[in-house]
Amino acid sequence: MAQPLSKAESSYTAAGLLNSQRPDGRSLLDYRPITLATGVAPTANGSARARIGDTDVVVAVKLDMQRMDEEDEEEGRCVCSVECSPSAFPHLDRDALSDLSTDLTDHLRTYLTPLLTSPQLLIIPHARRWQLAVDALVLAHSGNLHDTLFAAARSALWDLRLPRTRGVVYDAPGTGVGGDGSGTGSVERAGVLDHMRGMGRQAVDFELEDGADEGLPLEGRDDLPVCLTMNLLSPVYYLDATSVEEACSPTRLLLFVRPSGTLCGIQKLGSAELHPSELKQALQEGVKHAKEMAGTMNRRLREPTTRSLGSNLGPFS
Amino acid sequence: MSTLQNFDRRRITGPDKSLPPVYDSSPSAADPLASPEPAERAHRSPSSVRPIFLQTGLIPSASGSTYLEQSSQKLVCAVYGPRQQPKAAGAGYSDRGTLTVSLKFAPFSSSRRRAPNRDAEDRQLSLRVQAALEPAVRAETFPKAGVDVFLHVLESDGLDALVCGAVLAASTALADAGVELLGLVVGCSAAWVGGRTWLDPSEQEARGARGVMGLTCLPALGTVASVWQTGELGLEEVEQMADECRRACDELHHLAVKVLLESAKKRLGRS
Repeated sequence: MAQPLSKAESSYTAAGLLNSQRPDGRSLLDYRPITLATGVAPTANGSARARIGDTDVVVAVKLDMQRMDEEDEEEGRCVCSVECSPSAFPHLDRDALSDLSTDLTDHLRTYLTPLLTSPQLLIIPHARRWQLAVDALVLAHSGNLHDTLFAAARSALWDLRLPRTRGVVYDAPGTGVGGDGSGTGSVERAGVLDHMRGMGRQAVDFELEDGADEGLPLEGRDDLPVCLTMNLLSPVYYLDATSVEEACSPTRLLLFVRPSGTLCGIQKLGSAELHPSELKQALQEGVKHAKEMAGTMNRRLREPTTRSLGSNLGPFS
Repeated sequence: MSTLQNFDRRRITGPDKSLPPVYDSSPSAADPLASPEPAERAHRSPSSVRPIFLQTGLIPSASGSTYLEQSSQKLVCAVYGPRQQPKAAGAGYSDRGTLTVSLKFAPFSSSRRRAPNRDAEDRQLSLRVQAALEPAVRAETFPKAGVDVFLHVLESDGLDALVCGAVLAASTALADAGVELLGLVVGCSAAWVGGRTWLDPSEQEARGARGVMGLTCLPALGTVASVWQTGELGLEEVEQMADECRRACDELHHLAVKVLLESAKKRLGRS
């Protein structure tokens, strides 16, 4: 991903890191200024832009209604795509760029799959469901791409509003009551509102409710996992690497941690070997830092000023 | 389906949508993990890895090759190299050689037919195997060359177990090919079911588990090569699973060493 470094620069940076010194004066555990803005793409159902230092990623989530087949699982569906803009990676050729996009898409899909089992994404059980299309665009890259990408994805899912729907049953004259579907809530029957009183009718179609708000937020959006990259340069570890630092210590541990501390995913990248005690320590410290990061991000997203059209881009925390 | 996508002259493409039949008595019809957290593991103890058959020398024209078979997992690994690589644009000179891993599924390898040209999942698994092998391969011994590892999966049951099996087969094949290694890489996967660790989960067991993890290591040096995890697990549970995986890897290492010694004896006895 990064430009190849000369041996001298690489060993200079590594020696500095081993002495807890970084080229821009941060400590090993400091992040560069993180900026989050939601609602940057008004035509999408949810969108966000995240910037850590100079790395910039925009994520937009759109909802599509999808018919379910008999053998589909009872859950939502998610289609992700990450596009790395060539201007962000001027030194990569077309194949390497498309490989990088594929790898990031795989990571994003692994990250989002646990969300799909939420019953909120089912419009009508066995018949209709929401399909989330998550599209990410990497605008600029200067290190720590994974953290920025997933911070933007998390904020876009926070910003997502699911339209309110209501099931509809079509009542043909003269037909008996049949079916054993679970009747939930009220169902509109050919224009007349009919509260389900044990009739057991199953909705066959749905319509969008008119409402003053844009819809329901995603359930469990407070508990979405956060991605933290622990860069490992034995025996130290550090957070938020710039491109130069990434090139001189390519071994990293990606941790996906929920604010409650549950680990949703671990992935080791890079070609150095780890001692088991280093791995344990990296996991423990990583979970601790990720919980802090998730708490800060949640607080920031709840502030009303975040929800603007990206005009309030300023550093936080 | 657009013709551009699926136009493959070498094969007669069947209908667009076809599903495997499910019989009432088949295992997929009745879900053995229907209860939320089953207490007992069927057919095996929780800390047992499925028995492995491993043999080298399957493909004589390759520098090194192995065939690995576990109870429902069969794969072939062939290693070519170190040999000259097609010149990659913009690579420049590097004092380390390249290691390329390519993992491909046969169309009949799982219960649902896999189209031969699937790229996305193959690439992800190939990268996992490559990430596990890279710490062990001494790439500085072949600076301008590359080693290619080709893995063909004939039958698979559980992707995490597959990657671990692939890593074992590939590192044995690399040793058989004479590529210098710091140590043999072996891997073990584990699933967290019902408050316990189940080693080497099959696909059904992994689906019913709360979280699955895989760990590859070099038992000769006692270091970890790569680690991955999916699902919802607490930190202590992950640490416990990692410890059990490493213990299982020590036993697998003995097996790989035995296989290599036998093949070396056979080769020396012949020449």
